[in-house]
Amino acid sequence: MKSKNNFVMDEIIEKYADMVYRISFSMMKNEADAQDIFQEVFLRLVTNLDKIESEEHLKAWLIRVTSNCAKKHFSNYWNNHVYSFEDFEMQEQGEYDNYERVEGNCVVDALKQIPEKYRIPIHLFYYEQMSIKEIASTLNKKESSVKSLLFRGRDLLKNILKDEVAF
Amino acid sequence: MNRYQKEMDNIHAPRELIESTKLKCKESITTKNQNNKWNKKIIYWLPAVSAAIVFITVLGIGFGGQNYLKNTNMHLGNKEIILNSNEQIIMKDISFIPMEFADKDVVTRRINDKEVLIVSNKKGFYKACIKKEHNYLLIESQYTDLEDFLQYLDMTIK
Repeated sequence: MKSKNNFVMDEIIEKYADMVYRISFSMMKNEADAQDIFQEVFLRLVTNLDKIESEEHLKAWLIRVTSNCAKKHFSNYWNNHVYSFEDFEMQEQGEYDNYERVEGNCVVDALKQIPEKYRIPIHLFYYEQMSIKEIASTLNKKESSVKSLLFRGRDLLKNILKDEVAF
Repeated sequence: MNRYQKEMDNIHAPRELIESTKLKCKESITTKNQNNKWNKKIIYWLPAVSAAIVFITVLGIGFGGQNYLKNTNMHLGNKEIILNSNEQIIMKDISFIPMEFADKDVVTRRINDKEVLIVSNKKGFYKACIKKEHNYLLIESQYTDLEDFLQYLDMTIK
């Protein structure tokens, strides 16, 4: 992992593209923001590649940085207060729900409607099949915090989805 | 949550995004390598440049010390030149040669093709006399080294 060259980066991007994109997509309001986060994560990796020690470390690093980039994006005042002209038009037409909807993706859409702090633990637990211990170490949180985030997040999702999906 | 897994399985990073990210990363790697090269060059040359600056400064101070007469600001007024707080040079136009230049200890020197009489009564106190068209120019120095005094004469007498 110490050799920093274009080949290594290409391999990493190909291997982890879907993982990073899915995390950022599950966290962000729309595809454009998810794509911004995606690029930012890999560009950050270029400058930190020599600090990566193993494959596991790389995966954890990518998850953590994607999560941090998304949080940074949420905390940005501009992003919280500025809407695109397209958003405005949708709102005028009564179609606005803050999130891009993909046909048939009702759970993904529901996940985007719960607060952002619950999204990553739920995604990592249910999609990446990571244990609570792994999630806690990746996100630098206590295991008890992860457990409670998962519990509350699942409750919120249940309320949104009600009869649509069985948990 | 099987439904969530199925939905997520259908989501993939767009190919265009992957390719553009690869391209940006390549650019970033190139920039980083260039910066590293510059950093290495700077790290290599910094001590050498610093040493050169110190050397030039020391050299400059050395020469400056020797040639301070050339570099000192001279306040010219009534033909009195103050080189610094102690050293002083006074220039006077006189109509006759002072008696002290008739002494046997008088030294004659040619400075810039002009004959100059130099006499010293006390260490650090020198007098020089140069013949002008109808009178004489007397140059007196106080608290000055002979070498500095001669250097000053060399600069003054044209």
